[in-house]
Amino acid sequence: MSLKLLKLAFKNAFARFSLLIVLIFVAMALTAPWIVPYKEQALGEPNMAERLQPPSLRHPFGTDHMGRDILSRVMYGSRTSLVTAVLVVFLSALIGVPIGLISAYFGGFVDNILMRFTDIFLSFPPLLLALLIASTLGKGLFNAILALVVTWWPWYARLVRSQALSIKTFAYVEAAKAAGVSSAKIMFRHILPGCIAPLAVQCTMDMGSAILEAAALSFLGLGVQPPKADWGLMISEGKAYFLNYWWVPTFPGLFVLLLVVSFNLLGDVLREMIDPRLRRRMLV
Amino acid sequence: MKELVRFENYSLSFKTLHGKVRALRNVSLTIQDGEIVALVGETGCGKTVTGLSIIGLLPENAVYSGGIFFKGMKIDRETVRRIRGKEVAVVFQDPSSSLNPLYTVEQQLLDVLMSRWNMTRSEAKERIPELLKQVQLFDVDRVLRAYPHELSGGMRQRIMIAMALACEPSLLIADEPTTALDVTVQRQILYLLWELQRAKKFSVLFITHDLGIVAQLADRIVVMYAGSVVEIAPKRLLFTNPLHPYTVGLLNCVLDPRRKKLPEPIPGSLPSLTEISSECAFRERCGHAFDECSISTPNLVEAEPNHFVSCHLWRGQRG
Amino acid sequence: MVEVRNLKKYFVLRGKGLWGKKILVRAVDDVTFSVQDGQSIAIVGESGSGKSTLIRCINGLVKPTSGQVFIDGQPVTLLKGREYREKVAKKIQMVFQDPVTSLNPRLKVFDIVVEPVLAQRRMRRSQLIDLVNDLLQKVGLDPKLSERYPGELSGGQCQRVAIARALSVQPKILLLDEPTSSLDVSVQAQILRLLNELRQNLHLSYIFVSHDLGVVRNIAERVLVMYLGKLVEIGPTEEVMDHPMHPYTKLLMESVFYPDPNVEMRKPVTLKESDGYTGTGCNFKNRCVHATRDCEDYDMSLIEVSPERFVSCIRWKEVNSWSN
Repeated sequence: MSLKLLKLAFKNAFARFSLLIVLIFVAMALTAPWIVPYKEQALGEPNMAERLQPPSLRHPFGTDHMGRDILSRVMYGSRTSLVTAVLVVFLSALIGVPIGLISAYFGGFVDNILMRFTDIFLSFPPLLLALLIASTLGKGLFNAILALVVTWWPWYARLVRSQALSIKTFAYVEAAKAAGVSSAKIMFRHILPGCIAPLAVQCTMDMGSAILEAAALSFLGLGVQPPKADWGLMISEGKAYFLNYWWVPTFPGLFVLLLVVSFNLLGDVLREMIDPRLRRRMLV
Repeated sequence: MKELVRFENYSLSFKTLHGKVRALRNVSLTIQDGEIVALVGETGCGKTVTGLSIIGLLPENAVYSGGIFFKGMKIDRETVRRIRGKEVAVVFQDPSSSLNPLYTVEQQLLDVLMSRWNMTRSEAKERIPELLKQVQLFDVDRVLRAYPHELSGGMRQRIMIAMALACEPSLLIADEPTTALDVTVQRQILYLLWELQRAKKFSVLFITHDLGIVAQLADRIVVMYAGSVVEIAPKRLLFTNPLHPYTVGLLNCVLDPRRKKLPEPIPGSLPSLTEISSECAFRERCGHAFDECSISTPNLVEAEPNHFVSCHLWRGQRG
Repeated sequence: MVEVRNLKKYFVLRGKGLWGKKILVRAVDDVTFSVQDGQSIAIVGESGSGKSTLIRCINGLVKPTSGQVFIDGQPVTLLKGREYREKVAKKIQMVFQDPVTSLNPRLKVFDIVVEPVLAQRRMRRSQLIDLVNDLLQKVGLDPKLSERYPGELSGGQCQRVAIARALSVQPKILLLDEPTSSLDVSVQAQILRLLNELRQNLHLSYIFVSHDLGVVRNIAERVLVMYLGKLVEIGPTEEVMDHPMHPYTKLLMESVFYPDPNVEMRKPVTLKESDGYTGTGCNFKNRCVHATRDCEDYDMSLIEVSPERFVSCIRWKEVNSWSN
């Protein structure tokens, strides 16, 4: 994937915009503890004297029902969102990719068993599973992530398996087998690299979906618990105040929207880069 | 014989990420009425693009100069529509991607007949059995009801030929039509094509890299190398008296199943089409190159009656 | 040195539709032959003949349904792991049809060429560099190309790299699956010359699979003709090609186009319209216009016409007298 292709892909304003947004959010999440205006309030300390104040110079996003600065809390919320997304996607890939690889490489009986196993997990509805886990293991961010990973990894297994199946037909895989190279080495050296491209696209877009689902879980009270700052939780706590104090749930909601859309756009850009037919069209 | 197609100094380039690819350089050739012209060359010589240029099937990033004339009429975006599918039909290499897998053979044949001749469905249906018989497909019902993937490669290619002939073209462009087929099927398809051509007298532009096929099928042969025409001659003349060093080399490489004779490889490899140079494209590999060869590209001259070559060795001849 | 005994590879395919009958595909159907040290044989056939499956059974890429393969007297069918490396990978290597897909586009030429050796044993970097330089020179490539990627090389160069890779473990036998079919004519000539030289210099045996009879004539001493999984004719190349004894071999020879403008356009050999599979009797009887009632019972076992010459047709004596 040459540098020229990268430049061409990001010629589009939308592409540049989405990349910029994602980078800003990442920067924000990394530096929040130092740049946030009201750190203690972000962490949950109430400030009842200033509750439900509209956006002003002191509080650009206003304050919530506990008087806490919404801007600070929203910035802190980006930390949980991004960490959740990264963990969900990473752990799901960690489980799903090897399963997909092994399934495709060995085929036959192994493939059958692994795919049926995958099917079982595919059929779990994420929210119900999260409720189940929450009721047995307790609420909290970790359990929410667990619930999401359990339902997420099968997609990666499937994706990698289908990609690996087509790579398996290439003669260089046969050549490695004929040379006596071990199965593990063939899988990781010859097959996996070919799966990275579609996997990268999927992971990028999944970051958006993971943020959304994590926010949904927190919204339902199953994820991050109060008084921590989390976008879903903030929307949930703030929805009661929407009519008269619109800023309370709106800003966290906007941030969710912005980040999810940006990740999706970015994923789209990546997908265009790896699709050879679209690549040709970019050349005209 | 009347002239059907004429290329006049036709050049074609593609704009790509890696720069300008010069696919064709000053191609000049003619196809007469009722003759089979074989366009021969290796990868990158431009033979396929030459065929596609006649019907304008070029990608968006193509830039061309010079002219192509069909029956005296210059081909451009408007006029090409007048000949595509009507006067000129194409048979491609891979029948599995030229036929639509979602429609039955009957539907696709009807499509062609109805759009070409403005027939009604029932009129078109009547013409079909005869079309299939022409290409030696006798199990008419079974073939019509089938989807392309249910038929063998040879049968699919016969259908492609039937579809092409349904247009009653003056020119049939066949682009490596038998490369993907078995030897025995290839013989059947090519003999069929040859018989049909002898009967209906349409012209054929046969694009291939296989000199064995060309030796029996073609009337005249055009040899191409790296986007240029290097030699044009009637079949026998080309094989017995090849003039261009590339043609000589190519003929020496061809393997004859009747004799054990190791081929004489041409040293070097095909040049890149993105590098623009004014020298002869074959110079690096040519055993007879001299100073003029690095200075300019040779023009096509008639070295002997009907025998054209573009090589500085024959520069002094009639141009 | 390589011996194949009663090799069979059957596939089960599901028929058309949701409840299609299971179809048994006899890709390789009871094949027996052997190749001596230093010999070069060609396996000829069209698509569906089973030739590609057959050679993949020899080096274990495909597991046979039954039958055995011996290399240097040792049984090697169904071997895995270390035994496979010692008894198969070290002795017999393969060159594939499409040079571009037979090289991993993400690896440098250097890593591609040394992979088989590194699967056998560890070597120091300096030893590997020497090995690669030596191999690349042997196949006519500039050793500097070892730092390039396959995408930067031409088809002919890629095939040379593939040959270098195959030679890296110093095998005695090379399996070549249509190694020149994807190449241009001029490049094909170069590669064939190279293969001939290598065979002489390194005393190799070749098992060559091809559908191109011109190539076969020039590289093989012996030829084995296959049709729908069965061997139909075996013999010295010149004899089989000039005087075929099996109707199918005759069909092949008469279908080929000779690069001779003085040869007239011949009509194809008349065949009965039919599909391949028969189930019983001679495989070719459904298409052979000379088939008789006896052909229904004939099990296609090879008849020894003379030492070195085998046919599986009960009417072999008459084949040459049949006209088109």
